[in-house]
Amino acid sequence: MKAMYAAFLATVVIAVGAWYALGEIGFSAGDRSSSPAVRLGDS
Amino acid sequence: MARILLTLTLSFFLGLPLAAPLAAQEVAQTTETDRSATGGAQTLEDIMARQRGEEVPDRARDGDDPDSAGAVAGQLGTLGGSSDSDVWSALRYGTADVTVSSGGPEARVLIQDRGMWWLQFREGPLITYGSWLLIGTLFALALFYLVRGKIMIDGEKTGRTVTRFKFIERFAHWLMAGSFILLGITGLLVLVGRKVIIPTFGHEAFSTIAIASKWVHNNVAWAFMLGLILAFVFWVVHNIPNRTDLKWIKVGGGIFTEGVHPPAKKFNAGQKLIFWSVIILGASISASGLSLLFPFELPMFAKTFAILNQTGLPELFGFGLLQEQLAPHEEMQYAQLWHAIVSFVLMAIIIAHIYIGSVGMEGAFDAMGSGEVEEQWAREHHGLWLDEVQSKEGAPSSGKAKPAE
Repeated sequence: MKAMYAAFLATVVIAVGAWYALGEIGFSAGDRSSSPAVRLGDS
Repeated sequence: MARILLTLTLSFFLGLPLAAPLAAQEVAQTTETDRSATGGAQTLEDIMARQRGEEVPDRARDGDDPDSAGAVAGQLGTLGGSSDSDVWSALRYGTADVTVSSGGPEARVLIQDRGMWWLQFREGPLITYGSWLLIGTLFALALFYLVRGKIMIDGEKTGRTVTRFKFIERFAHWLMAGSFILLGITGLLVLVGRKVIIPTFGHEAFSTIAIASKWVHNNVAWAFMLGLILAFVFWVVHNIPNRTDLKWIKVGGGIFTEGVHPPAKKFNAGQKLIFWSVIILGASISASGLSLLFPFELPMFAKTFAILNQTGLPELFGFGLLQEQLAPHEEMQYAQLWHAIVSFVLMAIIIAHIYIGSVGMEGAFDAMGSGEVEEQWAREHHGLWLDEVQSKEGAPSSGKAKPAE
């Protein structure tokens, strides 16, 4: 069962890594339909 | 009598050229809506007909846009010869010259009327038939379990085990499996949120569920794609169809009959079917998922439709020519629908896979759990593979096989 637990842990690590990376490159739907001149959310 | 006949004949032929345009005019009058009240613009009846899905002639599509309007004159104000209706028509049909300060082509689409069709399809047939597919699969499996019961190891257990999958293979399987279950659950939550969760639990609860589901779905998708690639690399060689599969298919894999064990290598025909379903459907889901993950960056449907049109298949099946020019948002809508439809199909297949790998068959889970399977199980379900393993190890009955703990 070690392989299963290791894979689940890897899933969490990959997800957090992807979240950080996607946030950094600004590829959310909001980001794509916006610009510095458009105020969305908290900004 | 002859004079009457001659008169009738002449009347018929002479009257024909006059009658034909009159008849045509009558048809035209009955088919064409009277738009005089709106100055030729669309009427309420046009709107209602469009909502019923009927074809409505679009005046604005014939080049009637603000750019071709008359110049500013007299009391007409800044719009010149264009009325508001012209402006809205041009915006609706994408003929208006729209300038925006940010974004790509998608930002210039101010009205996208195919959105309603997408929303209605998404909340109607997609959820309805998708749900029935999953419920039907669960029902069929429950019925199968009641009729056939758990598929047991028929022969006497040897107490020895054989290594079926290495650590890295099981890791790839669980990377793909765990992420797929998460993606399936979160995808369903997002899909049925408005129809099921909001009416049941309220907007606030769904807001939290939707935000969490979106986060999980967007980010866990990468683990699934990695698992998919690894599984393909590790197992593609073993999943190429061969003649043994025909024997397996001929007896239904022995699944329906007790004591029947057709020969199979590392993967039997049923497992090969699962493998290729996962690879092909998983790749398709990944492609449409990437298109959704990077909005407007990876449009793929207009090109796909153009290729399909060239094959002539859509016309052959009565769909006519598919749209080859799609607004950026339409691309996203098609990507979402395709993503969901293919996912429903794969979910149904995976539910069956989970069943047979757990409660449906004795000893099957060990293959992906510890990686060690009972030798008798291997002999019954993968006899040719067991022979290969044992001949490589040089000891037909024991070899590297270890006693079960």
